[in-house]
Amino acid sequence: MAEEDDSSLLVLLVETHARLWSMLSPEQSAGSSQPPALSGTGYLTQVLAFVNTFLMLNEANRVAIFATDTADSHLLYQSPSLQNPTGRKRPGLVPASAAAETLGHLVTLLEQEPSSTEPQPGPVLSAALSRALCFIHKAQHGAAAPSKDRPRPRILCLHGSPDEPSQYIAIMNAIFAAQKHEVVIDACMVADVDSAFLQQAAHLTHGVYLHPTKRAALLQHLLSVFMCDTFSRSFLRLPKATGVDFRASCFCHKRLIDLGFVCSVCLSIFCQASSECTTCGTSFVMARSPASKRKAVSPPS
Amino acid sequence: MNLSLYLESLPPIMLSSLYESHYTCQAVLRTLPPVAKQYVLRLLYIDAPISEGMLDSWPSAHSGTKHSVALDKLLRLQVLLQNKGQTGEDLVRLNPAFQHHIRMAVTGRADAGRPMVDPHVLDQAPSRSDVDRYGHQQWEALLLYLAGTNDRPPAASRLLTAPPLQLDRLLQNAELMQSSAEKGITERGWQFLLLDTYNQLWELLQQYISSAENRSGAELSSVVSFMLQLGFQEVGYPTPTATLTAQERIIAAHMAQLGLLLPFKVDDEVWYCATPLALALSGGTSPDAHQQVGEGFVIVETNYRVYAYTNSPLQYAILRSFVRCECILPNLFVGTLTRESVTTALASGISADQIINYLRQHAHKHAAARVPIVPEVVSDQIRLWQADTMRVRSCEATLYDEFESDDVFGKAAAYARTLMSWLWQDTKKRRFAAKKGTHDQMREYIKSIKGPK
Repeated sequence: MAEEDDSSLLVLLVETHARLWSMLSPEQSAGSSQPPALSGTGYLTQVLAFVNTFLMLNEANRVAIFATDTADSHLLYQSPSLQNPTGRKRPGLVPASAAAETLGHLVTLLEQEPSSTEPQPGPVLSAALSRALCFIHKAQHGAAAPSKDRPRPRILCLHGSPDEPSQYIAIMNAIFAAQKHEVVIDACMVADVDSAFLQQAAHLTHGVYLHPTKRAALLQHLLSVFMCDTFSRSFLRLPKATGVDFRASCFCHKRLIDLGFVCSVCLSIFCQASSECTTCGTSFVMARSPASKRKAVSPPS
Repeated sequence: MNLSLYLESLPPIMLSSLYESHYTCQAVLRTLPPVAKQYVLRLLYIDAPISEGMLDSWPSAHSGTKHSVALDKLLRLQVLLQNKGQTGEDLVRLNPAFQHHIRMAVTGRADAGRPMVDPHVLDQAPSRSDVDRYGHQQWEALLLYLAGTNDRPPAASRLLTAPPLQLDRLLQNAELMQSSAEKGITERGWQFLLLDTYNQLWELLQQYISSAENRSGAELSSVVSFMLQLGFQEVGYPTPTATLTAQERIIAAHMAQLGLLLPFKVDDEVWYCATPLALALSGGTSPDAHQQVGEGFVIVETNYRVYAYTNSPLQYAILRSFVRCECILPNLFVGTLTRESVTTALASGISADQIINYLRQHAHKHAAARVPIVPEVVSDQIRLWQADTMRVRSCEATLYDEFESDDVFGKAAAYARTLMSWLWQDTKKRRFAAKKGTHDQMREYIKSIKGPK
């Protein structure tokens, strides 16, 4: 039975904030030839259908849903067995369906959201990723089952906003942690932009990065690509990344750069030459002109 | 034995009537191989038939047999229907009824009909531990009855009135109990006791379903869908019996006797809830579901000692069939696996793998965390003891000798090998033995190679 086991632990990071809603349904001029855009409600309905399907596939499947907004990440739903792995549930508790509970939490969350008009920072993807990893770690190590019987962990990011270069270090650290713990990170872009960070995340953890062309048919993409558990992936052909944006952002000004300076001791990346590394304090001996030391930032792998 | 194997054995018409229930559809989806599940989901929102070539492009290069196994399973379960397109190409599509029900489940509309339960009913419902205990107690009573340790079968519930379940007949039909008057356990019965609970349940329920089918054919789909529905219920969540049809009421009473559901009374109204045993019905192939059914208690040490933390007479009886009992403490059975005890078990028809599986499946939770659960030295030794009993194998054979030349002898022996009937040869004396069944072919061949000379 064990070799045919396809149970997984899925942590879903859903981006939810006012700016995303407006990005999802841009003002369409009448008669435009663009494919129909994905509306906010359509987005949520399809995501919830995906969660339902995931839970239906295998009774050992566990799911946790986090909402990512501009300030924080919020736990919207977790499978009952994740809440309290050792203790039994209180008898007679009315079982709420995953979709109903998620929606309930989401509505209260959106009501709380400040309706300020000032420009807000992007969503805290780095924090959400770290939290998801902590959650997985806790679930995997708190479980009573022997290690081979535990569902395999996976993170799926449904993301729409452009990257925030300032989160580069935190995200890369999260990616390396995921890589080390064999957590697969999948990413599905629901709006117009591509995300270099998530491309790298999927690339490094052997996940799938997808930017659907027909976004209104999100569910079909979710069902045919992202429903695939890590066990079945080796037997199916899944979309491969056409090109991964390996650009890093510098540690000093948080700018995305193609070429930069790398500290030979701690591998920190800088966009300008300096005489001392600001991260580890190593002082560089400038024997030759700085231009000859300039080298391309190699992709972290 | 499991759900999908059972469904495959049904005639097509029966199967399509079963797909009228969304519980059956969901249970079938769960029991599919992982790759097949992905195929179903990919096809879920596609209404038009698609070509088989498209399907064949889905697996990756190193998927091996997974693709064909998945397709074969889907076709046999009639989840996938095949037909010819206008231009003669092979088209496939999902079974429309199946597709409809899974879509309903995906969008969450399937559960809409489930009534909300009054809080005061919830307060008076039995606690989770009561539900667990009931399921356990009924099933154990059944196994004890089968093993002959108990004279009486598990008690039927007094809350659900129905014609009593003919347990003896059920067990006899399953060839677990001798059909003679003394009702002794059969060889198959012992093997049955060594199975895990999930497989035991299915074996018995399958018998129950087919006997229900014999009573009247139309019942089948209602029996199956009721049982699967039970498997999808939250353990301990009350459901009113008032909404059941007369037929379902009878099945419910029988299932209560087997320990799959627990009936209880709140204010003159009878309710029921599913026990952990029922979980095994809805897929239930994951280790999680196995754990739910019962706690393990066996620890096997590398010195062949077996410690079993149990006080159930049934487990004592099972363990005694292959372990030499050394002492029994109030909560502990201590014994040793000896050559003598194991060979006695092997002689009575239990296989080495069954013994090892039993020890593995009932492992105590501390022992279950170890890899391997049963020490290798012990499992290997049990297998060796089994191999010992089969050291000499007899096979009816024909001896060919007095060949006139090495050439003819070599050709004839080689031909016997291609027929897979070659058993032994002695090149010096030019003689070899082959299985008896191929003698006619051998004679023809030897004549033909001797002929031209």
